[in-house]
Amino acid sequence: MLRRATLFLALLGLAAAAVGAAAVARTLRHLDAVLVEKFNGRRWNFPSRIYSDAFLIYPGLDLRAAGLDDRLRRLNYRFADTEPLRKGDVRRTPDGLDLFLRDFSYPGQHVDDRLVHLELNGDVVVAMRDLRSGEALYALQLEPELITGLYKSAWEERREVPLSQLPPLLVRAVIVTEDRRFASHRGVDPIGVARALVTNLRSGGVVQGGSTLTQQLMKNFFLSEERTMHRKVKEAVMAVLAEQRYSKDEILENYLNEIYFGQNGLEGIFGVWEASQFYFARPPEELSVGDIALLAGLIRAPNACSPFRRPDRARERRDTVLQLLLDNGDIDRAAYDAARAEPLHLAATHTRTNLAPNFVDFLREDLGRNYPRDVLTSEGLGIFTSLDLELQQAAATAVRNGIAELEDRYPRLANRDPDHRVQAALIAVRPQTGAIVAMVGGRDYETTQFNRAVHARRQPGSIFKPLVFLTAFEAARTADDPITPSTPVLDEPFEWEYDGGTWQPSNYRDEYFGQVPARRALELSLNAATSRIAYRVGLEPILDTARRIGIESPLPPYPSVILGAAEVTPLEVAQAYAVIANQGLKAVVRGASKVVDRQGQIVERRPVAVDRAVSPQAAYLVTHLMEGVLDRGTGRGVRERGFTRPAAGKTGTTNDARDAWFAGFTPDLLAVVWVGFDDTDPLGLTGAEAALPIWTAFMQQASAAAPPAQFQPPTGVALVRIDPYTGGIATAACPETILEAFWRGQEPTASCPIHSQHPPAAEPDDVSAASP
Amino acid sequence: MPLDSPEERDAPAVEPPPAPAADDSAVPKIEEETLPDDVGAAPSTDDTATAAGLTVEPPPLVGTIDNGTAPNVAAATHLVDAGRASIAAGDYGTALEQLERAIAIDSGNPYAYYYLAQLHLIHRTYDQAIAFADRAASLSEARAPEWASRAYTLQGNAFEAAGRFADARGAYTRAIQTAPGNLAAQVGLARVGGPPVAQP
Repeated sequence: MLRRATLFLALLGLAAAAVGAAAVARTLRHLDAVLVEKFNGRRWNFPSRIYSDAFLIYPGLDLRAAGLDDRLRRLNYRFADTEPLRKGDVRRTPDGLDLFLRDFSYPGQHVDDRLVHLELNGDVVVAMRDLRSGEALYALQLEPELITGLYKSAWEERREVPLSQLPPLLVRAVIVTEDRRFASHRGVDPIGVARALVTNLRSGGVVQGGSTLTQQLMKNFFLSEERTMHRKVKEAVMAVLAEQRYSKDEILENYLNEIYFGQNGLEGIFGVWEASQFYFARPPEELSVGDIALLAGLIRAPNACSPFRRPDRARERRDTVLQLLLDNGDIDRAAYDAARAEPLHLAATHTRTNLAPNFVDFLREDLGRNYPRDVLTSEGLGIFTSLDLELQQAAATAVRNGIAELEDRYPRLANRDPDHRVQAALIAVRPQTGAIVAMVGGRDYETTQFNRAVHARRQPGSIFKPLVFLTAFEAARTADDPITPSTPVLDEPFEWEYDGGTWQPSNYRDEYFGQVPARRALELSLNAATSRIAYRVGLEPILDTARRIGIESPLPPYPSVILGAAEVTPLEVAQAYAVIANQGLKAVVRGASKVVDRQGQIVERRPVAVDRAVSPQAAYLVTHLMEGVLDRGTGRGVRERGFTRPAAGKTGTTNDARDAWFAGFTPDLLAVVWVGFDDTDPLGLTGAEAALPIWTAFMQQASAAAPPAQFQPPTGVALVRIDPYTGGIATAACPETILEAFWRGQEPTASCPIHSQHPPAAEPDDVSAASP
Repeated sequence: MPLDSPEERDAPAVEPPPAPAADDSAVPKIEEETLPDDVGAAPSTDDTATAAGLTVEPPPLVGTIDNGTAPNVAAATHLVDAGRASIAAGDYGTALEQLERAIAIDSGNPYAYYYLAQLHLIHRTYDQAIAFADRAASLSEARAPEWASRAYTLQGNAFEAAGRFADARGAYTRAIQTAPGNLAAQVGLARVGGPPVAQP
């Protein structure tokens, strides 16, 4: 009986053991599969990173106006009084600046580090040379600035680096600090576990881990922060499995790229590369012995020992790691002493803020057409853009101050529901390349993220008028009776009959000027005179011009469209005006210029793409008229506010002053400003009153760094000095003269009929040269 | 659009005969179908370089810099020279970068547009080559007619490669009118069946 019972129990035990073993085996298989999937698959989500354009330094550039100091600070360059010895060091000298530029990779090219001297006259660069070779330099690039990352749900900053590219001392420092028996254990370190067990028993809870690097990695990869025995066992089992399946180097590399190093605002800092950048503004290979020790010491308590918040504790921790390195023979006594004497070389502490949130949203939408959202937030793409962060800040400041001034001057605008406040948008573009350099979509991104620069469809008002003149001058090339800038036009009320009815354009405040030259019709933004020109040219050619130069919104075939009755976006206006500014060549407006994958390989390049939209001559003639808008017309406030560079522009105001616009350009830079209410309530202000001050403030700052450029007339254009009232060639007796542009062959041939007995007016030398 | 590896592009070296283009009344008409077989192939930069006259590769532009040159123009000119060297070395991505940067600091630099046109011709993006050559010619015609002539020749090459022979004849004719000694333009004009242009 006893024997049978024993046998039964034995069988039962065997069965239980078999079931248990099977369960254990199944669990191990599952854990192994999870492990393999993680190691072999995509281990982390890498946010895509959006970068500004690389900034160019060249002789002639005004460094103060270009905001070089701010650019350098944002890039974590360090100003010091000593000779620049390390990349990122800057020193002011009696005649300029010594700058140790960092090397960086830009899509398709690698820019080497360089120690340079910039010789300055005041703030303007007059010469540049390489301090090591003595070579004279003509252009230098600063590395692009990180604007922001495109994150998944968690804001994790991380860059993966192969083990072979990390300094061996950094690897050793992490090992001696976190797991000194890493090379010899099999995933779990029994000695370490025993030590932790004793400590935990004494304290009555789990207060210390004996975790190896492998266990820490397993915890970070798969497990929670919970301190339970179950989790610890699972962690240990997975660590043993990992050590059986993967080499020490593979585990170490994953660990160094995975480990948490603290917090930058909402962004978590992960991996040694990101930590090196965050704490020291240097890549790991540039770290000193002291920096390395500090970094390794941070792993255990990155926030409690943060060198930004607790420098004394951080230094203490660093010195502990240095001692461990010395004890293990990784550094000698001299290196130890030198490192202990090092100050903490910290990067300027900063919380990264997205300085261009509307631009980033614009990019996200634009790129979203080609890249799924998951790819944008997890594949670590590098997105290189045309944005200039100094110009972006100038734009944001101009909008903010401009609105504040308006609300200050017109209290009725300020005393409104916080959800219905005055809004403004600004977009700035390089006409020759279509590069967007700044974009502000509203007064406060925190309150409303609607990007008015891109999505607000508003009536453009008189901003549309230059398109009428552009069409007229384009048609003039082959017309028997061409419209020229000096063609007399009647500014009187008139009726335009069309299929659907009759349209009667009226002037602002019902003021009419009788017969005026075509030029004055645009300079003074005369609706009646402009409408008569449009009537002569024809509605369909005008709409065709508008579409060719970049207006994509529907343009209904009604005459009122020529005075800006059809809704368009500021982005469309920028595209259209950029064609005029670029002498008829349409460079497609774009934000992103290159996209690279995580390995730096170019996956997409968006070069400058151009298309001849209108003739250079017609575009120049309109530009010439628009210069008059600023010098003598509705935009003269630009000059009154002190902006003296060659520039052209146009004001725009819609019915009941619901929208206020100003769009204008220098030869190198174009900006469009819109001001109004989202709900189309009347603003009660003209473009000159509300938008022009913002445009001027922005352009004054944005264009100050580069030498002034002139609008160059293309061949086929004749510049002739005329009497603006008679249209005849000016004589010495004409009380007022103007340099007018014509298609060659259409310039006046007769002298001013009123003052014709006098000799022709003298011309400056450059005018005859510009008029072949 | 990738600009690093022209050989990967799928455009044929010889374009199919195009639809008749809007013709230029100043240039005698010929039937496009009667053109020889090699017409329509993109003239290579080697062809251009070995042709006599203005399209022989000019000396470095840095030679045009003097004390009166504005510093940003000088910097841009250096960048164009660097871009030209990159094109010669086959490093088209870098060339594109350098030329676009030259425009960023001197927006009216005709040489930058000229070499951008050349770069696009190499890559068979003919519409871009035509537009950039047009801009280069427009910017240089008053101040440097020989460069305008080069630009028109390059534009003629691009038109020709795109199968727009009437437009090519127009461009070559303008090149010769701008600089009568431009032998490459004369060769190009003959190739697309244009009559000799009367010398002034």
